[in-house]
Amino acid sequence: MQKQCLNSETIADYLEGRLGPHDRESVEVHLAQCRSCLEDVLVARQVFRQRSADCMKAVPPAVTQRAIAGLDGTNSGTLWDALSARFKAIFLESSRLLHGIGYPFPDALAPVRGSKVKVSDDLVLLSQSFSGLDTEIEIEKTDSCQANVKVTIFGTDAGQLPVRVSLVKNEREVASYLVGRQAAFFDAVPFGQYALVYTRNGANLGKYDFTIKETGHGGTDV
Amino acid sequence: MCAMSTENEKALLVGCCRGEREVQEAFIRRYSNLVYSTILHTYKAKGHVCPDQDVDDLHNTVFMRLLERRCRRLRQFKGKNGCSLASWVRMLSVRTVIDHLRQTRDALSHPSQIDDDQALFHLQADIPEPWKLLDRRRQTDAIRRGMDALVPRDRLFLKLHCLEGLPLREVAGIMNVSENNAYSLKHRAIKRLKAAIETDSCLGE
Repeated sequence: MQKQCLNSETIADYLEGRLGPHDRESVEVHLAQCRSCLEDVLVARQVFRQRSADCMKAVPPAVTQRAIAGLDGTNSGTLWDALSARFKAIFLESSRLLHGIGYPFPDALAPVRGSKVKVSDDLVLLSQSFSGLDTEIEIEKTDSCQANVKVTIFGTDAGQLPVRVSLVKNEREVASYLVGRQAAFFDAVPFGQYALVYTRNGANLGKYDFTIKETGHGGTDV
Repeated sequence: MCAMSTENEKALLVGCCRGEREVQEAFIRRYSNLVYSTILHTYKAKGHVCPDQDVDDLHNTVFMRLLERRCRRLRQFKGKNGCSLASWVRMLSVRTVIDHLRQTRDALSHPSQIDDDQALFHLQADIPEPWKLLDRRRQTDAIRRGMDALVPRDRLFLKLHCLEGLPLREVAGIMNVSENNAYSLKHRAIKRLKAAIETDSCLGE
């Protein structure tokens, strides 16, 4: 693989003659030096041509159904995965019911003060209260060593300035968001030690140190 | 599968990225056939018969890759040059199969995968006379250096025609030139390769 490999859209454009001379040249410069992309181009060309010559073999309905079932994460293989997904669904449904009976933040989970809830093997909910703010941190494992971190802040009035939430690692800011009514979402955070720093208009409101780690059975914990 | 309008594609993309379950399901139903047959055709192109379980798994993998992590992969589709969503999904399916074959090392066993060194050696018919006195290893090295010295378009042409063994008509199709132009390209590329090797030879001495 040389430099950055060609993306699939560029290869499709190249094979179907949609690129201008300059882009074609760039693609050919890359193909001349990247065996892997050249192989992709050659095989794809053959496939594109075969497809127009042959009639398409119909997909068995069970195969499509299995892909659709994958949307729920229920086909991930083990009984534990299926149970985790089911428990998560029940938990989220319960939260929605709570909102229905008067909880004022319709799109957020109800915060539990100073607690940690392990919703499933891949999802942990943490709650913290400080400086008049209630925060909820949702950490969801998305990959073998990555997680998404969602921070929701409750207890801010409409007239107040938004809170800045920064994700910090080794005293260095990784990312930060201004959080008004919506949540801060940190995508694909590698496992490790982090801190969430909350500030408003430059004033420090609080800090929460945490570690995202793998559990013995492949899940995540904090 | 009939062609889908850009507007419909856009609606499908937006719905999927918003996490709307019904739209994601419609997306899978829409492209399921395409992905399935592309997987089979890719295996065929690589000279393999695909086990049913593999087709099933790869079909699932393609959709999971597109839709997982809040459709991160699906969001990469731009369609800026007029590429249809179907073409893009097809290309992704081809690459998913090739990656799978590479991982299982099957890709290496395909008969059309000519060993580079051997293929380079076949180019010796076109190289200058003094080179034929060298041993095979040095000839191959020299041709490799000569290839590296070519402009990318000539190098790509020779790779496709001489290393991959594609006929000129095929190469012309891939490089979007007429067949007549392909002959000129071949002539020019070999001439430049000879010159590069001769220069390299003079420097070597």
